[in-house]
Amino acid sequence: MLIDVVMPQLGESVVEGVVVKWLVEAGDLVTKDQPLLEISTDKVDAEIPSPSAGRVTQILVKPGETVPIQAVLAKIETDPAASLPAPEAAPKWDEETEGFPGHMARTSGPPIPAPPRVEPSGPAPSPPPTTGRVRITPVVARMAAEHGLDLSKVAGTGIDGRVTRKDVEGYLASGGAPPAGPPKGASAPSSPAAPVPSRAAPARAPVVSPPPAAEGDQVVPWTPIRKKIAEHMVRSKHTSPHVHIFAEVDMHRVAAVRAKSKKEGVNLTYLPFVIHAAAKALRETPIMNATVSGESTVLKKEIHIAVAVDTEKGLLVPVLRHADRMSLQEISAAMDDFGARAKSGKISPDELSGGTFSITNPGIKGNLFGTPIINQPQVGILRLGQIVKRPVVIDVDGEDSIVIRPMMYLGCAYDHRVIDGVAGNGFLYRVREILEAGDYP
Amino acid sequence: MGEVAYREALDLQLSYLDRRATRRIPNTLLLLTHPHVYTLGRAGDEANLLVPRESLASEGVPVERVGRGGDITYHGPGQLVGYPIVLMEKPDVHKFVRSIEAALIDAVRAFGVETRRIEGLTGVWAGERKIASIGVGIRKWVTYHGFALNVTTDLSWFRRIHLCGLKAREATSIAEETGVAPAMEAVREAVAAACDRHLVGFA
Repeated sequence: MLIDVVMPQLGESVVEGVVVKWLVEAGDLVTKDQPLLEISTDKVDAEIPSPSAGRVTQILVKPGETVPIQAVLAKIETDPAASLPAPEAAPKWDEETEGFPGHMARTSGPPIPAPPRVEPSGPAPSPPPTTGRVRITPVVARMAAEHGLDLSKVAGTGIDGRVTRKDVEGYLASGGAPPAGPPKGASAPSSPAAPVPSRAAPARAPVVSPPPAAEGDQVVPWTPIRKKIAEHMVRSKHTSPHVHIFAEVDMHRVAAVRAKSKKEGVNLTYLPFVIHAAAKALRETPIMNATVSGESTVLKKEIHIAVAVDTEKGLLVPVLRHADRMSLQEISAAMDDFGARAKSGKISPDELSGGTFSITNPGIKGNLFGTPIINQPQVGILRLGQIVKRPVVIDVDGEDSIVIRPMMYLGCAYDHRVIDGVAGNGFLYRVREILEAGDYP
Repeated sequence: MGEVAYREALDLQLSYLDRRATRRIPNTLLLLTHPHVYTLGRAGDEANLLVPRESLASEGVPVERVGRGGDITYHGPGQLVGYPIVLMEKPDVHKFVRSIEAALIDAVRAFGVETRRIEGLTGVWAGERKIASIGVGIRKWVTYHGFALNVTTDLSWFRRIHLCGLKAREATSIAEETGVAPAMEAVREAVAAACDRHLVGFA
């Protein structure tokens, strides 16, 4: 009988462990309780003893791999000599499950009180029943061997469809045909002597891991680009301790410049204003315009701002080179150009790389504010919030007055490994000052 | 048990472990001290040893690699070492480690030291300094290795290593915390009693 060695539950709050070392090899004979492998959890190291005597037929996990509890680590054939007489009934389960590694010994046969487990999804699908998953007694195995039978072709009438000695005798008596009226309505073969492949199917275990989806759910596998994005996001969050800060920016002067341009026939959005202000502030705060290389910070000479733009073709992040040398109008024109070429798919890869700082603009539906993730290996990112008219208190000739102003929350993330609070806050404060000054030629 | 060499104590533990695994003896706690030794757990990185092995060897201080969890630590005179040999009928290693921590916190309180756990850092801490290390191994579902509580330990020995692989973590002792050096026997009794209370519920 083939049994699984599973990763034991080492405690209520222990969900996984790392396989440190195998102490046996596939093919080795082991005794019950012989240490098979060493595993390491966050608290202790433990040797996992063999749940039973037998031969290790398969080792399924490599050293260094992290495995969840109940994962199958190896398989042990407890019956290397199939000719040993054994009872037809279920074997002595108590013997194997008694004592405390109780839930370590497990077979596909009788139910044992163990936590619900997931079928191993990793290795190859179980071979057809003769070799393992459907349990047979040694007697049956020997009969099958003597007669050269493929037991998958014999209909089982025992527990769980198990093939019993009677089934084999009946099969042989009928000249190899399945007995009349098989439990599951499979079509009878046209010729009794011919192989009957269709009968092999029902017992086969599922090949793929069961998707966790309920009926009506949709499983969307990640595309390569989705994978890349996922990887990038996780890596950034792992790499940089993000500090998020927010400025509330009065955009009324910017709005006035926009209105004036509109009269002159030039359509400006808010984004170029923020890019322009950020470039200026970056020039004054070099640490924000940097990348991390190993254990060094590279203060970049040039200011190339990567601007995340939502286009019809998905998110695109073109890089505005030398943004600090561009006028507001030039920035605006460059962004329009990017937008137009994004639609026709004519942005070269070169234009999407080399950024030294990022700005993300979620657009009109960008909500109050957000906490952006740093675009590695950069160290800072700005995020525009929705621009909303709000009553604000301002000073008019020494008197507090309430006025209506277009306000924007500007979010900023900086990498706290390399940027201290003073520099990070100073930068965002400066961006706000520039925007509120509205000083555009 | 007085002072027992590290390797000798390990053999002793394993013989108790074998007997516990076959239920010939009850759960047992070995309390002893070691002569100077540095030990590296399975996860141990020799880079955390800040002096060359050779210079330690010339002083007669061995560095042993052992089958417990954890990184590098030091054992020596003035440090009470405890090896609980406990059969884990229902293995719960987190609970076991927490129980040891609880026992030690209890035991040292009797000597006027307030200690605590630090989430994610196994051991017992007086403020930011480590007063007891814990490193447990399991074989045949019996625990071995255990804990080391600094009573009057000469703490300069810890400055030669990155304690438990943690940079910038310092060791302390009961004597260091209170300015009073308690008798090893008294601490041993307190620890034995506390372990008796806390190391239960694994059968």
